[in-house]
Amino acid sequence: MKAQSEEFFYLASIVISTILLIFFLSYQQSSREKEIMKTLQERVYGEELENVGNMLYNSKLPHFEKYYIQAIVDGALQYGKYSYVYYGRALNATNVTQIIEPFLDQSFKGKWRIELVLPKETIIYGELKKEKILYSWENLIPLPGGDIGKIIISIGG
Amino acid sequence: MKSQIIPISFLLLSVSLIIVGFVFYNVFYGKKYEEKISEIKILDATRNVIENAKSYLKLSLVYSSSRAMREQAMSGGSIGAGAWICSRPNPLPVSISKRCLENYTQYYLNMYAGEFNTTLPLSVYIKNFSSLIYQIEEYSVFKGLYDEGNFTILAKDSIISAISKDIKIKDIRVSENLNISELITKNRFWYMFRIFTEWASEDPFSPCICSVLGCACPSQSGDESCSSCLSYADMCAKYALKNLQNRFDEYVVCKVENVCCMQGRGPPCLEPPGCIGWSSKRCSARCEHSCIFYENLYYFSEKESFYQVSGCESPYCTTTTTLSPPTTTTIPPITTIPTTTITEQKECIVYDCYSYYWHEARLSAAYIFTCTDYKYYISSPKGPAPLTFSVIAYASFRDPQRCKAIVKCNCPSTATKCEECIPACTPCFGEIKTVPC
Repeated sequence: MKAQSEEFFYLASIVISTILLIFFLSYQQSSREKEIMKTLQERVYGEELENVGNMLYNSKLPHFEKYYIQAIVDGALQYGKYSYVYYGRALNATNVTQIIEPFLDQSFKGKWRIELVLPKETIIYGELKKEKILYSWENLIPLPGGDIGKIIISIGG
Repeated sequence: MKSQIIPISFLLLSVSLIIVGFVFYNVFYGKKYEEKISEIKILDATRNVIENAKSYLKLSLVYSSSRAMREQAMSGGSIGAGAWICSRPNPLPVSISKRCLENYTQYYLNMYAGEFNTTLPLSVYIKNFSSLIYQIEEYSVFKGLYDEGNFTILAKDSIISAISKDIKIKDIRVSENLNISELITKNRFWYMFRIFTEWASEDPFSPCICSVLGCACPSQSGDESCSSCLSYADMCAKYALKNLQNRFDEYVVCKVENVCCMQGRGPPCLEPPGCIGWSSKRCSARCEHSCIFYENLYYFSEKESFYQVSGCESPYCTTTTTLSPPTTTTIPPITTIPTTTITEQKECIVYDCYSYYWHEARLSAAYIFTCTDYKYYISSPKGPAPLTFSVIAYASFRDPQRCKAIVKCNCPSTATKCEECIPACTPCFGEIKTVPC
């Protein structure tokens, strides 16, 4: 009887330790998966932000033939927070907000925010609150007078 | 029971070996894998920083060129440009303006490049661009090919390097040669340059100044502020302004501003007649065109300019000088000398002798002609603003025979003929008559 119970004990300990091992291994696996998922997500968002940033710097407004970022900077320097920029009698004016919104909405559907940091002020576009920011991309902007500004594009939940 | 200890301990040993193996795998191999991943991450970040720097430099090139063009348009096409009309047509050559634009754009671009940095743990180094070219042909400028811009700026021979600062990972260095180019559109610098050149080549200003030189005849000294000549000089400037305005389209508005105006009278009886150059000490302009390169140049306001016109400040000179002694000639009074005749009736001799007299007339005037293009606005520190192009027109002439008059000669009492009288500029003519007193 004693021998039988001892045998049962050993068997039980083997089974338990095997189960523990399986749990341990699967936990390890899932946490690694989570990490990989997070890294992947970070990479995807990072790349998307990078693409949006590069498009702002490299795509031109059709009629005005100015870079998007140039229109944003010119607008901020010309009329401050009023979002308009006037490019002369032949081109007339354009609304900077109307340029930015559809451009970012197609990628991030309202969950974005652009901060334009100028030497004397910071202009914010988009409705995403600062505390809800998940990922950001930033780059320097040359300003026409020789100063340097910064653009920060953020997305969040 | 004893027989079961061996398989059980073997089983336990295998389980512990698996665990230890797993741990070791994670600690050593996993770490190595992790290092590789972070190396790739840093490499990616480095490449992204380089891409960001390229975008930044591309925009810097746009702003550098618009800054150079704005400044040089304000200074007459090149910083250091002389007068476009300098008593004769003297337009700025395209080559000087182009070279000056290249120098300044390159300087500003390198200034922007030096400001680039990143918040990531990376050291970014951008070598200065050693060459910058405006792809402009003189022939095409005058054909109007660049009237709306549509020319390319090419910045060459720079290197960008990014080095990781992470001490855990071996140094990652990414370097790339940088050549950036930008097509400039909606910019009418060369349009304004072309129209100003055509206007200056025709020169509607200097001949007008020459034609009104007679206004300087009442001058009191050799070089004095315009009084009698100011309205004439202004009239010439307005005529030239109208001529200039008519050459531009409806988007350009021109104005003229007086810089200085001096008039004077010169020595009498000089030859030959006609307008010849005069250099007023207080109203003169540089006629040679050059490109002056200021190392620490900053943006200047619309009012400031690099013109160096010596003499009084605008609007008009207020002080007068007597640089040469007055050269007025005293016109002798009609002389009648009483004489006695045989019939004892008193008779007088009338010396009705005349001579031509003239003295030199001098006039020097400089005006700034400023035209503003409202068609396209270009970037400025206060947002897009119209492009303003200013040139100086300067004319300075003297005509030795412009102030001509007939004056009475001074005759001695012994004179019997007019030729014996003291002439002014030409021998005296007329007659000496004896009339009853």
